Amino acid sequence: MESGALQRDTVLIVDDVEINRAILSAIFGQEDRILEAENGQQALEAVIREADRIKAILLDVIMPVMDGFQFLEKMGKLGYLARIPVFIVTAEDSGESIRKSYELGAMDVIRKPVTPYFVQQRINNVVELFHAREQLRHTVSRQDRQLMAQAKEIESLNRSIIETLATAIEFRSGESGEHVRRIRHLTELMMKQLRLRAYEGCAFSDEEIGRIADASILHDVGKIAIPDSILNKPGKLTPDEYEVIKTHTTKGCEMLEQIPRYHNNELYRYAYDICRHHHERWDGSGYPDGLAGGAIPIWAQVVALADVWDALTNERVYKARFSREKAREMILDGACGAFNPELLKAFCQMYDDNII
Amino acid sequence: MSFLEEICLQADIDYKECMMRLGNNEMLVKRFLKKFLEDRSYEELEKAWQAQDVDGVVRHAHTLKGVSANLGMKKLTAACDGLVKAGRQGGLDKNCYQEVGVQYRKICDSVAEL
Repeated sequence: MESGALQRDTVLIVDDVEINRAILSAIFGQEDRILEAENGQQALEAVIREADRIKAILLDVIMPVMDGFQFLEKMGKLGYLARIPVFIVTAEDSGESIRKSYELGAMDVIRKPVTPYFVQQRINNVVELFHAREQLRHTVSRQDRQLMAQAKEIESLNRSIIETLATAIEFRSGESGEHVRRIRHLTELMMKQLRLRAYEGCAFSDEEIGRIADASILHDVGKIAIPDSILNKPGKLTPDEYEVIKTHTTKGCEMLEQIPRYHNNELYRYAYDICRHHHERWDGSGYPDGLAGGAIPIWAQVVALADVWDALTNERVYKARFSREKAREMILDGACGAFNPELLKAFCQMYDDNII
Repeated sequence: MSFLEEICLQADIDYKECMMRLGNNEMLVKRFLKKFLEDRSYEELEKAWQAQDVDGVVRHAHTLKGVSANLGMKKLTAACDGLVKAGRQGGLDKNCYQEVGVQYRKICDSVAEL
């Protein structure tokens, strides 16, 4: 429990003999608040109750109910020794017992009868050390939180930039920013559905799926290399013009490869695949490489389907929107491309569950 | 010399040490010397001795040693120490035990005058 505001102002004195407690209390009572306990059990209760206020524990060894060593052991197990220094105060002078004290985690062993000035110095030195460590822990903790917040910010900024870029490109060919966001969302949903259905090679983490979804935003980035006259031609395209349009896949890849961070960044590798292969078809009749079946990376397959679904169910310059039922029918009939049967099953499940 | 100091001299209690330990406060020293009379370690030691209980003797002599050391009762402390050491070897040292008794009674008698 962190509580930087509360000061550590209390010394806990543990000894079954009242006079012994009184003497220690006389030494420390002038500057600090004092808590007393007659045995290890009472001491433990005091610690649990006031862990944040205790700055030091002065501990006798020989006590009934729970002795000093047992108490020390418990403190170690419960993790308190890292925050609160414990000093054994004992008339015992056997090397055995001193060693045991240190082994169990005591900070120091002080011989009885105590000399006030010396014991104060020894204890205060250690208390200072613990205090400094605690401050440091707080600072590091706070900085950690700041770093995480900043990392999230940067991630968010990145996504914004990519989105803006993609939107600008899509805008030229009459698509909207909404289209880009919808494709991202659909891609994420579909990848998650495939993971759910344990489709081979789709056991991605949420983080990874997020990355694939981000990459999907750039699927048509190559369109920027296509001349306006062709991209926005109102009528039907000639075979030559069609060939030019098809190059938006490879052109997009060329551009992505130019990006300095391309080779270090997973996202760009997904973007490359998606950019290049989102017009391939399951039966191998797609472009640019004519890949068939499982040779097409699954993330490219997903984006291809998402793109088709989005085109069908939204209004475009060249067509009105189709109903969900009609769009589903057209996709399953193969009217808009050939797809992976497993992918189509996942698609149908999502349709039935009203996820899309 | 204060009355307290005289009493300490009589009882073989190191006045200076006692004062040093208790913040040079005569009231506090007087209070704790009186409290000493209430300490049960000696009675327990007697019982253990009568029962020839070596562990018991060691335990109570050790406690009495600690308390007396805190209050500057040098001779009593030394005697207790002897008992503890003998007890750790498994023996019951009659001389030390008797000395403990002598010193203890001396202290009690003197402190009773406070």
